[in-house]
Amino acid sequence: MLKEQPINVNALRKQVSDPAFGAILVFEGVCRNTFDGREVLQLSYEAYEPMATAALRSICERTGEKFPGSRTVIEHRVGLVPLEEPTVVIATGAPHRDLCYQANRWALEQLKAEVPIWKKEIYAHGHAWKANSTKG
Amino acid sequence: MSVPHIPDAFKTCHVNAQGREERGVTMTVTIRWFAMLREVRQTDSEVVSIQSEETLESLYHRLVPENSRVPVAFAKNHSLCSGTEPVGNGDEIAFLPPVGGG
Repeated sequence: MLKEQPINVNALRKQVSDPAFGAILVFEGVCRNTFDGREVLQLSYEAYEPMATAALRSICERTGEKFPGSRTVIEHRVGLVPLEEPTVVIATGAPHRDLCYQANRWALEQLKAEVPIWKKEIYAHGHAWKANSTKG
Repeated sequence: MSVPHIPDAFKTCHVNAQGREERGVTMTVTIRWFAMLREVRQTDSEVVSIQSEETLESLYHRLVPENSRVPVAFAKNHSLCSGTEPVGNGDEIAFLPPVGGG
């Protein structure tokens, strides 16, 4: 669930592959190079591991309950993440695309709201801790 | 007339109930610090002595200067709880700043 090394996207996709599924969606949140016009060199994530792992597991279970028939798995990076590398990957499989899109998006919004993970943007000079917007 | 038997468990409770100050027993909790609060405290984990009647919220206010405080969620032994929750000997306490995963 929490990874100190780069996330293996294909391995995560395989975890939600199923002959009954007509749709698989793999969402990647990626480290980008700017925030509000300021150049970002890399990101650093830290987590309260026992609670974060439990929360991610709970989100996967609740996503399956809220969108019956779907299956979702999540991996999130901790530590330094270079530009263009995934910070989070959420893979969802479902019988149909509509359910798949909804389940995947819902899981991401839950993650952003409740999982005890913190993000630090690292600039050429200094850094800043960035909380997620509550507006979604 | 014989002295009533006092169960051992009761004796232990009696000692603990008075133990905080009168008997000089130090009660401690482990605090986990994250993100900007970790930088303020300059450590990610520390063991802190607790005072009688201390709650999670009063502990946060005692340890973090007002100008460094951020809104936090409170956690005790890996479960979210209210700031009015009392702290107890051996608890693992975490003050969780607004999250930024994703």
